[in-house]
Amino acid sequence: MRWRQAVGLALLTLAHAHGAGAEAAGSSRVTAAIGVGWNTSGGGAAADAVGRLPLAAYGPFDLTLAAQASGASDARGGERYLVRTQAQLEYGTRQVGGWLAIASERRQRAERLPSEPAIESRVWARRGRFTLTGDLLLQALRVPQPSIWVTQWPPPLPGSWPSSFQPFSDVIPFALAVEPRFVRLTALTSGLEWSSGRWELGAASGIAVGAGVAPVRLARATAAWRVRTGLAVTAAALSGVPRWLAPELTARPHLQLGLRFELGGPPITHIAAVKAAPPSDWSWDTRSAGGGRVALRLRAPGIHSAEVRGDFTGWRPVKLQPAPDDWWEAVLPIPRGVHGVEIRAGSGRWRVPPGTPAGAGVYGGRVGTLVVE
Amino acid sequence: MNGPGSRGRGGAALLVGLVLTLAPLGASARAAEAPDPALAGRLEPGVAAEVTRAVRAARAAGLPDEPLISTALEGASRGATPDRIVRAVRRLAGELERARAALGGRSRPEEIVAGASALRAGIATATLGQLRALRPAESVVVPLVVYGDFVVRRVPPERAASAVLDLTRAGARDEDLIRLRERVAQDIGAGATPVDAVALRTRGAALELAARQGATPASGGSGPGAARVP
Repeated sequence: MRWRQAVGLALLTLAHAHGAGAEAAGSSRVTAAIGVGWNTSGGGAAADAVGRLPLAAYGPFDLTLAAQASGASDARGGERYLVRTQAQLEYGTRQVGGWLAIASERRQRAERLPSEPAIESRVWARRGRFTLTGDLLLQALRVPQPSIWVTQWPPPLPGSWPSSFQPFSDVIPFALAVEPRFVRLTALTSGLEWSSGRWELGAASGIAVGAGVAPVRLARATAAWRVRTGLAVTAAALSGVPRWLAPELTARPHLQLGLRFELGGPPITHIAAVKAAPPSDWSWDTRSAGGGRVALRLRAPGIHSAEVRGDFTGWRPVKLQPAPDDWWEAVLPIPRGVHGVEIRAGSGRWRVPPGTPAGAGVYGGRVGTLVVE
Repeated sequence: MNGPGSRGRGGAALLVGLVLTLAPLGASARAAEAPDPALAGRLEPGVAAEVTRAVRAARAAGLPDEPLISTALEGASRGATPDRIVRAVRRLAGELERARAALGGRSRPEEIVAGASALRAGIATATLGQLRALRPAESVVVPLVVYGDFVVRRVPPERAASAVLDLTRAGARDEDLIRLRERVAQDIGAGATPVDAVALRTRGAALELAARQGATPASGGSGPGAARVP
């Protein structure tokens, strides 16, 4: 074991396994994670940053641009880096969801084809504290080939051999380098995650197959314990994966122990919870307008139209009218009682109005609760 | 004396009488089969008929029926399948019935609706009864709404129930619970775990209540249980 550098590697694995990476779906914020730790196959340092920008919403679907930059180095001077950008189409409710992404990668040593986009997808289903995941990756890889030892006669440089050389009894072997081969790889992984308060546990296994390469078994077990907001202790056990496939520095099975610093909020593990939240600069106000009517007001800078719906509208959208200072307003007859309410800007996603209590929706997800006394 | 002619006149009169008697029954039966007007045009006829049956059964049982109609319309707006809409309406009808049984027959419709929502979020029926016992005359709508909000923010149901019950037991008013909800939401938005946020803010609210009432809350360990006030 190498203790020389106590800075661990493979934040890629830790970050993805614990939600700081691809799971940050639906968020407009930049999430960054920095890991330090130790692994049993040699020391190293790694950093991983993920940023996400929602581009558009199409009904229940969101189109998001995500970028990720990672780097790692080990005690022997080995260095690797990866820059990835991907466009991701997401869908999620409280119970099920998934995304489909097209990713472009650039890696040091060009071990993968930068011009061949990868296609990734994930589906997930959640029940209580458990989440079941399934991942599919399709990617073209350049797989290094072992050199071929060739023995031949006559030797490659005739006339240069000593006089004692005996034809047909002595042969001259030499290594013939073989160009890396392109392989279209398919990787399937399934996993189970459990989270409760401070704890996150997960396990995943799968297989990667491609024509002409031996199947590669993938396995991973992860755990994280949140010490406090923004800081978690992490541990992971990973199977050995060929270096042309994995982003890590080692190809052997190994353990990782580390710390995860979360900047910009905790990891987001459930798409629906994030999508239900309105932008932070929105505000919502309700007040009695007399005669059994209620004024519903939304302040949302920069939008061009807004709608509200709820049981008091028969769940049909009702347009809010523009008012001064970025406010949008509708005065509607709403009887006394408990009502479901949602708002949206333009033709975007229906959301719980900011600051409004939410309840479990009859059809899944969450719905705003409006109490009229 | 009754001749054949008088029998014929009598038979015709009987027939007319029978028709006049049965006509309203037929109209009533047709009305019973007709879907609720609020559903017409929004749902497929078969679905509308199923929902209408559930609505009329709820009405006959003295339960609020508007939430059932609203649930069906919500399903139509969300593009839910007919089967899912019918299931959602039936499920809600069951939740309304359970909520009323737990909260008491004299509960107001909005309390029953809030109770049904809380049941869906995971509250125990016994907790509804406890809440009613703590607030026999006051509305339990806000405590139930706050409970539901906590649960969708991923506070475990038992912790959410404990927080609401403890503060209600300590004499929290609706404004106190609304303030608690806002503070918990702010903390979670700032990165705190839901469990930590509820534990911290519940204890803070208990201290505020105790200070207001001139008493000191019981001390205890961490977590929502620590907010328990005698």
